[in-house]
Amino acid sequence: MTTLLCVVLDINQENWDLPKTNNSMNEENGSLELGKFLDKFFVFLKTFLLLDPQNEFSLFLNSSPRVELIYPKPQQKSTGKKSKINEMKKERTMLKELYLKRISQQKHRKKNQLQNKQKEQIQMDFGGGGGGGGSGEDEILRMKEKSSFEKEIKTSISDFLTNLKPNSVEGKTTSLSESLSRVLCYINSVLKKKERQRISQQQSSNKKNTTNTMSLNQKKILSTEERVRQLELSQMLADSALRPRIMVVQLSKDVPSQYVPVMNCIFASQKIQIPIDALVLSKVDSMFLQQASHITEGVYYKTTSQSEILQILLTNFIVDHWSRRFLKLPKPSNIDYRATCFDNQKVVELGYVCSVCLSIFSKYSVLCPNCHTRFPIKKIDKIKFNSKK
Amino acid sequence: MEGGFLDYLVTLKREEIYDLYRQSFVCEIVFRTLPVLSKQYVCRLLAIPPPGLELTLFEDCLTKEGKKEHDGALKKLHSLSIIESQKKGFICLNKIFQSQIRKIVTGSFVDEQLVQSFRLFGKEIQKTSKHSKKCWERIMFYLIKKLPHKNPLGKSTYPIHDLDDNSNSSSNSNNNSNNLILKKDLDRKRNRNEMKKNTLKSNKKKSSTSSTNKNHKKRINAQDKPELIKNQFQKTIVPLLKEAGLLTLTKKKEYRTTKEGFRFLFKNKHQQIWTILLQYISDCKRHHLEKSFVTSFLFRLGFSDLNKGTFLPLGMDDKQKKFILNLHILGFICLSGHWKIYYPTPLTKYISKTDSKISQHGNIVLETNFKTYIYSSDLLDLCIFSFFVKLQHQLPNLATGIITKKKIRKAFKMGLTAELLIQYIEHLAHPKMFLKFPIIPPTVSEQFHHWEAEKNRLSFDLSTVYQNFESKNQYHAILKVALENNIELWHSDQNEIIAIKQSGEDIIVKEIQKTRDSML
Repeated sequence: MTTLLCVVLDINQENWDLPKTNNSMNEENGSLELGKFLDKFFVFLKTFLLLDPQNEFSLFLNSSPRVELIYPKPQQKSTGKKSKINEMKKERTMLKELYLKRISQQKHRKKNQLQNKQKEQIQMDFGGGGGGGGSGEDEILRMKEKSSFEKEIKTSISDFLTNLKPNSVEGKTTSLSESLSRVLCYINSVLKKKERQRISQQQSSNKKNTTNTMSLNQKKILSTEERVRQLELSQMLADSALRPRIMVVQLSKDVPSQYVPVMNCIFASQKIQIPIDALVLSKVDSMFLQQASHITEGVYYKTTSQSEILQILLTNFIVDHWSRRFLKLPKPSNIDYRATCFDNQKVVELGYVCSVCLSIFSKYSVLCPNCHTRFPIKKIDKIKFNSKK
Repeated sequence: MEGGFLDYLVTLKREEIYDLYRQSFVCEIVFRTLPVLSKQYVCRLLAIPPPGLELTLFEDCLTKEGKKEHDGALKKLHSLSIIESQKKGFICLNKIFQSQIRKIVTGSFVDEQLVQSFRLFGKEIQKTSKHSKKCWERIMFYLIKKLPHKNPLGKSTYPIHDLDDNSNSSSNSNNNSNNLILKKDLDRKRNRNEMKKNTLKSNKKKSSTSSTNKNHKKRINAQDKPELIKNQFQKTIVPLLKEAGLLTLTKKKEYRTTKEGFRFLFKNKHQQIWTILLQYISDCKRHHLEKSFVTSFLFRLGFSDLNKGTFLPLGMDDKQKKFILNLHILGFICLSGHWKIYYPTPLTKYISKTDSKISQHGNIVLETNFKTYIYSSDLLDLCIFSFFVKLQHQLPNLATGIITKKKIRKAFKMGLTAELLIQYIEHLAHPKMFLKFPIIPPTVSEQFHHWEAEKNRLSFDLSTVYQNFESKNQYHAILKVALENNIELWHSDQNEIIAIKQSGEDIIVKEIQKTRDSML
């Protein structure tokens, strides 16, 4: 049930409305403001983190030349051990001084105040009784760590937007293929890191077990019954491990030239069982995302109303892998399965398919542009003619 | 989930639950331990004010498998008073619970107080995990030692750390840590001699420390004086175990482990911890501790970061200090710095963690020919296994053995059940066992059930036998009455004999008198 949620956020400036107009106008039009959307999105992310203590998420910005990983920020190489230890020592001396100050303050107070007030302070310290949460020390620290991602993300997004060059294409086009491939690579690296960590932990605890990894792709020849059972079991096992998931928030239209790389990403995520959920915030359906969510068994939802967004996120997009067995979630309807020609990127209903590499073209050519196999029609006609005889 | 935290909550009254829900930690823990479908329902209802959503909305979104889980999920939420139905057919979240989770989720906290925690060095983290392991093993070995029947370790060869009067037990533990199977006669003799010497020494020590305790309590470092811990353990933890039903006092005023205590050894850590903690919480009133203080501290521990040490809050009563010392003895925290700083131990993660059905750290393999392979060199693990496995060989990281009927019957006599045993093995099963389904081979699990059923072959009831009836009519009349009232155990029409439970004697006597009167 622990999931790694990777969110791809469409940062195309033209499509997000600016907060220049009055708030009332915005709400009436149902326009989408980036800041307000982010607030609701943070609520959704926090409930997601609440579901399981080991849940993680990462946020990517979808913009054309470079897809940025906004959270968690790629860490710089760690400063040496000694500097870390010095930092920790400094922290401690500071805290000790503060603590001693507090004790001396309290001693003065003891002489002046009654005991009842002390008891109130103890209750306050722990947030017990009618404290109503939120006044404990550790609690504050924990919430600081987790809520700090809000500020971090907001500052990094605003930095990104201000650093865009004014006349360039950056920030005005989105590339779904780039972002999907970047996300898949990130997921792969995270999973490998975790495995390495787990193996090193096992070695350090002096337990010489055999490696416990159950790879998702198992290459054995089994009967169908055994295969079904193994799938069930691997599902159960994998549930206790980290399961990745991709969520795409899209406002811009599809770019048909990206058909081939997007389909490749979709099939890659289908093979390693990573569902792609799509939240489309425009009036027009997105063909790529419909196909993506259908093939990878993810969620697809299209809406234009600002007010619905939080409830939609909390009902449809928070459902993790285990609970998807129990709940029916909105799927894409009327999927447009038309392909685009690999050469001129036009939508093709009836075309030519190379039998070797299965690439689709609208016009016939003797040499397949992808795999360079020759299909000489005249000779084929001759063979047909001969066989008829 | 037997004996877990949620079961305790279900038994509380509504007002008490609402009191607990006012602390946001509790809400978080409860939310995390809910079953999967219930969590999703709570998420859906989070942003919706009363009267909430219609039940039909929930029912429409279910798959086949979901329909089976739906009722159970709703029941659980109702029993924990998380969900209310103000209108017919509508459900909404309880106000207090909803507001707490909203606070957590929107991050609206006020930074009133200083943050008083600091990161720990690597060595200190190792210390805390060692400490918690020590303390937990102390409890488990105490329970094992006090079993009424012969237990695998014998009388004196075991490494209870500073529990007996034998103050050199720690050195013995190093020698005996892996020699479970070798004969221990030599060790026994050695230990007897040492015990004689050390009882004299320890008696002298006890008297001296008790006097110094009162004066210099604050300056004693809990880790330096094991005598103090010994005394505290005997005084507080052992009676606590007794009240939890794990120990009983015999006529000779000795403690003995009960059947419930024996079953306790086979449960998973979350349940074990919560049985002890629940007993502590319910004893709060007697020890004049405030329940809210205890519960809030415990739940905060459940969320603590293992890499951080914190300063204890200022101005605690003596009784609250005792509570914290008891937590130190139980192994949940590690006190240091003259009892001003506490470090949470790895044991605290079991407070809020519910074990998933399958863990990836199991280390036992069970074959269809009843052979078992245990990849562990931990003495406690081997002890518990030796209750039902006849250990044959031991290697540095592996112990092999066979499950025998004799051992299993003994274990059942001591209070174990087949289901509990199967759950225990499944919990600790090696991941390679998951390649087959079901995890434990059905030959083995069914055999356990058979051996358990053998115990119940005979059942005994006190009864009286009626025969030599005056007439057939009388016999049939009394048989009718007996059958109507379900007090008949056996009857024979040929010989006109009825065996009746002792509880139903009065009824039958009356009937006989009636028939006699009617005859007359």
